[in-house]
Amino acid sequence: MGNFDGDSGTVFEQSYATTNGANGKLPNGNGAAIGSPSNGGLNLNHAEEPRGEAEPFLSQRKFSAPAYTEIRTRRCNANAAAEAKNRSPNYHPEKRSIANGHAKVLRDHEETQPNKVEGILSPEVEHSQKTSFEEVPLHTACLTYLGFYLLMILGYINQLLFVPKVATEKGREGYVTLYDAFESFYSRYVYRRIKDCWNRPICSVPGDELTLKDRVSDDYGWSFKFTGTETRCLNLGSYNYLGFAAATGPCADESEEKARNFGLAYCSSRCELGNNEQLQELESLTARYLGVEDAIVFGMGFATNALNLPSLLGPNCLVISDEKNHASIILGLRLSGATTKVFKHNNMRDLERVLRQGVCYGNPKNGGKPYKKVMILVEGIFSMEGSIVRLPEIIALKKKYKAYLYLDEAHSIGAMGSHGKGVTDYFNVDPKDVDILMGTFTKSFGSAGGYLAGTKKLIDFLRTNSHAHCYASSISPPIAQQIMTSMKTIMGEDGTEIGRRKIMQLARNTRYFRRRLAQLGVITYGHEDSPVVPMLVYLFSKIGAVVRTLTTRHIAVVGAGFPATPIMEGRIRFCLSAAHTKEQLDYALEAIDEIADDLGLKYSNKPRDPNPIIY
Amino acid sequence: MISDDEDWVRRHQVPHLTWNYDDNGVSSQRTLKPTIRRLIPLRSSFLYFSMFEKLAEDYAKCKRYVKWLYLLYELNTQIAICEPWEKVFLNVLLGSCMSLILYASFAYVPGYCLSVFHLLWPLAGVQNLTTGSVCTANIDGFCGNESGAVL
Repeated sequence: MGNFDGDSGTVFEQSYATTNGANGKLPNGNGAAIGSPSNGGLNLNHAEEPRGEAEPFLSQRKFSAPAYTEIRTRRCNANAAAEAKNRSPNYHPEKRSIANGHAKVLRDHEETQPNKVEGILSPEVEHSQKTSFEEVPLHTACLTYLGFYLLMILGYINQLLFVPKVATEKGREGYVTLYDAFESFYSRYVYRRIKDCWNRPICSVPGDELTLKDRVSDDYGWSFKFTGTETRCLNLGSYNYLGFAAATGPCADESEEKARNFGLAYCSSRCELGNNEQLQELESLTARYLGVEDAIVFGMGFATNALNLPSLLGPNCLVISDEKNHASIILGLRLSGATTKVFKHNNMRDLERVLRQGVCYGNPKNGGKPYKKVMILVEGIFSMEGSIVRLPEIIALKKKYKAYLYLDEAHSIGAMGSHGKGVTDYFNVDPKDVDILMGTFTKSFGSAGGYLAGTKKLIDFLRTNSHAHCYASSISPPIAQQIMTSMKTIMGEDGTEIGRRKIMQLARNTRYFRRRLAQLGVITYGHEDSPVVPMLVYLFSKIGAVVRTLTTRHIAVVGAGFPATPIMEGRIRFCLSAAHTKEQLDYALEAIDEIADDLGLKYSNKPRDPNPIIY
Repeated sequence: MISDDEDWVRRHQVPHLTWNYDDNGVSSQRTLKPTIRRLIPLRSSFLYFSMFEKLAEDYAKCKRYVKWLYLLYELNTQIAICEPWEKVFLNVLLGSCMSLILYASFAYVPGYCLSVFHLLWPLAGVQNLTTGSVCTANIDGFCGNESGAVL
């Protein structure tokens, strides 16, 4: 019959919680509490305290949902295993006297091997074995289409009868409208309906746990008000792959020291008065980390792509970019004015076909003369699909057709590979084979900024010709220090085992979570080893339902719909982290299992593994 | 009385989240089909437990099941995220479409089938048996021959 005991777990009314508490389900931390303090003021006062001091108090109030007793957060993964070995092995939440951090036994079994391609089979076969993009079941596709048609009809009626609460241009008769008609229609009549699930504000460090600021809407998503309460949630939405997003620890201490000694900003662009020893040290460290000759760093990851692609490419170049590339790459390509051709996502035959056409027939705008350069643009891990690029095959193709390769490792740097050095490490490929390595420091390093790395000649060219280098301000000192400390930790140069343990923990978490999700029977996309796990829900209303229900269960996730994904493939994206413990993952999986049963998300037709998954 | 009550409660409690891990951290129970059933509080004691309680329980279960099915319907047609007046409008629209389809299938399809049948095998209905005349008698009238099938 399903789990439809409606009170604390699932939410029947999938509408906005109104300020008069119409259905009484405000998602504050004391929603389903029995006898816990229920002061909004108390929440606010104590949520801001540093975690170390208020931890015992917070941990009592944190989770009042009956299905979970405690989440114990850990600052250093290394202590957990040693501690856990001495405890009694009873994991029942009621009988447990102390919480367990990571798994009791860290085995030196093949299960604990870090991310590395196996190398036994050929790359194509291994890729097809480990990647899955399951087809949508027919009834779901039909229902999704039907649902969208109904929403469109409603939208048109709304547009006809009611004036939307948006600003309108005045005195602009005869001018073309500022916004594309479909885009504004979609944003007002479809996106707006579950706007409380998008762009949610937070008020804590986004580590393995997160504090969400609650807000309600009286008029169905046009405007929001803060309720003043906060919800402490398990964080499955932040790109915190190695768990470096923390307010305490060696990274934070060194950044603080740097801020005290060197100030908070350079207040100048890199070329003028913003260059200094620290940034040069950062660049050489990045180059050493990646295994290439030189690197250049920028203050913003998006701008790294958007502003450097115009410097590298021009109108007589051919760029072959993957279908599912990020908006920053697309923007950069448009700005550059190069001829852009698209190949099907991760499809090597299509890539070869496009390459052959480009090389054989030349530039049609130029009378068939050959292109000045041909560049293949791919990402390491595609963040919406969770798939990993087929690097060995692309390198083979690139060498065959004498093309350049630009690899955007925004999500994969730090998260993939046995030493955390990205997909080149994962596939055991020489990083010098990739012409341009690009990445960001935002995801795995817990900082901000981006880099480009490659041969010294390339980087010297960029130092003189890049817009971002010339005009954007330099990375501020504490942020650069955070990058350096985290990089040294990952490489092991700080003398501890923390980096290696984090990499292994992430790999282990990824494998466990993905296998458990497959066992549940939900459709997930992507490669087995990628820490980004998109779970398909297809329908827009289900994105809203899942995000809201998970928030009431104290789990924060990100929902993704059009235009980030194709319109019929709405998804919920989980981002795993080395900071997550097995208990947290189990808690999340149990909530996902219930919700999947309740809302009908178990679309998968694949055989489900009947054996329990070993962590 | 009270101890009998507790006894009954304990025996009927559904164990949710029994995590039986052995030493290697392996779950010895097939993971996760947790059935969190809220225990319905029994005011009366064991001796007065009667048929009516059971019926009430079943009725409550039925109501919850129907509510769950309605929730699924709302989610799958994306009615769930709409405002109340939009919900009414969409329900009326879908209801009228479904009823139209159903009415058409009950009213027209038999007539069409008979027409096709007689098109393919025109000699089939020639022999005028008594049962045949009953059939043809029913084909005229209120229900069934809107398609105008003539035999």
